[in-house]
Order: sequence, then C-alpha cells, then structure tokens
Amino acid sequence: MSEKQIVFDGQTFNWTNSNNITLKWSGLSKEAIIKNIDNVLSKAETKVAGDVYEAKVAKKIAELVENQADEITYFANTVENKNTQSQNGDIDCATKRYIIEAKSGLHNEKAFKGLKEQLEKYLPENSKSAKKFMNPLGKKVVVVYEDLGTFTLNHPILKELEEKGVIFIKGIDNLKKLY
Amino acid sequence: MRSTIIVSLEYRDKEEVLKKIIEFGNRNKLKIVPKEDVLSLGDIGLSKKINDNEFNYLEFSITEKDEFKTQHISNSSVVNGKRYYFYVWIDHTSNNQALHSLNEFLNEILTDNPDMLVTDEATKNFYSLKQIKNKQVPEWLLI
Repeated sequence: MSEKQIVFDGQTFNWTNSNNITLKWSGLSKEAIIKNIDNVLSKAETKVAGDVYEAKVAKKIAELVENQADEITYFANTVENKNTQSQNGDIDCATKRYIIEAKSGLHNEKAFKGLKEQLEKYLPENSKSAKKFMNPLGKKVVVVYEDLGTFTLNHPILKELEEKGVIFIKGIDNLKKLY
Repeated sequence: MRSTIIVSLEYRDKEEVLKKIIEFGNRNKLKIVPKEDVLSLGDIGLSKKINDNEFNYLEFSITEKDEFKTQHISNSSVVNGKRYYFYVWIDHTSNNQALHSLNEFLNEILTDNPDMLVTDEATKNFYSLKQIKNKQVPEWLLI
C-alpha cells in the first residue's frame, strides 16, 4: 500500500483495493472541513445525536492537530464503490494518522457486533481479505465513545479489536491522549 | 452511518417485515440491496445515490423469532415499566433524503404496530407513533 496508488483529480480521490474494487471519496481543504463541522454544530438541535457527537469529535481533533505533525483530512465522508456505484462505507473523521469512529451509543451487544463488522474494512491486517477494505494508508483506527453501559473493554469483541490495534478512547476530552 | 432502532414488546413475523421493506423500497424507487451486499450485518438494504458525495442508504437487521426475548439483555430496554426488545435495527445515512425515507418507513411500520417504539443509538429516549404525530419528538424524526 502506498500513497502513490491513490489518484487525486483535484476534487476526488480514487484508489483500487486488493479485491479490485475502486473506491472514490471527496477531498476537501482543512478550511472546508472545519466549515462543515461548524455547520453541523450550529444546527445541532435538528440533527441526529450521532451526527452531533461526530461533529464534536471532529472539532476536538481539529483543535488538537494544531501545532502537531498531523492534520484533519476527512469529516463525515462517504466512500463510494465505483464498480457498483454503491456506498462502500463512511468515515466519521480522519487525520493523516488516524481513522476515527465516533460512537455516541456503544452499550449493547448489537452495537458491538456492528462495530466489529465496520472496523474490519479499516484494519490494515485485512487489506487483502476484506472485500470492502478502505484504509489504503494503513492509518491507526480509533474508536471514541461516551460510555459502554454495563460493559467494559474486556468484552470479547472489544478486546479482540483492541488486540488488533484499535485504540479505544472514552470521552472526547481524552482524545488528547492521541497526541 | 447512524442507527435507529424499533423496539417491541412482542415478536412480529420477520418475513412480513421483509416483504414490507421490499414493497416500500420499490414504491420509493430505492434499489434493493441483498443480504450479501449490505454494508454491515443487516438482512436487507435500500439504497439510492443522491449525488457524488451522498447516498440514501437504509439497512435493516430484523431479530429472529428464537432470539427475540433471549437476546442479550443489553439489546432491550425498560420503558414505562415494560421491557421492550430490539426488533428492527436500522443503520442509515443521515442526510435529509435518508431521514425522510427512514421516517416514512417508521410511520408505516408504527401505524401497523402502534405498540412499537423508536429510539436512536443512545437508547435513552423512546418515541411512539402518537408522539411522532403530535410532533413531540426531535426534529430529525419529522424530516
């Protein structure tokens, strides 16, 4: 995997994964990304709670990367499968170093199973096996969550993900631990 | 992707709901996404490309009959003293078009089953059809 395999035409990125699925996603400037984040936060009362949480996470990340060797690169991005013109996945927030999944609710078995399925396509070890693999630069995967309800990170699914390199962060303020 | 969950006191036939989803998709000119092509763990999806950056995508995961009341206790919530179980888990995009489709679908299924309730991924607040009709719900449920 290398950055050279990713083609940017000025507006969109294109990249073909090991399963010959060509993925397409839009590229925005840092300024445009921050404008989009602020737009969601300014209309918070009309938005789905998960979208507001995602925007709060991205806002915090945008602040934290200042003066760091990192930069916010994506917020609420759709990744399209060009072969089928269908959605391949989405990215809540990303920087040059991390893909960040924001979970306002992560406290039931069903959500854990869904999270595992979702993260399979980000984990670098799945670059060849996951049909929908979409992490061409092998970025570290982060899950930020508010609470796990009655569960802990010892839950088998979360433990397995952690062993595979996923970084779990409880609470937006603790995102500072990434830097 | 966001999650909306329909919870229920009692089980309803899965095949009937699947039929309803297909019929809803066809009526609203949404592409039916079979189980093998869905993005997560759902039974079926509905999809439509809106523009280069957005999809109207809804994915439905319906609890099996033999798992309904035996599923992990965390997949249920007590509302007004009664235990409601996760029945249909819907992963969806959250642009206005997707929320409109979602709400149309919720209206239809809750009209058929007015005892069911709707919640989001935080599973803190639960809403009935009556509350939706009276607009006593967050704005995203009225789009």
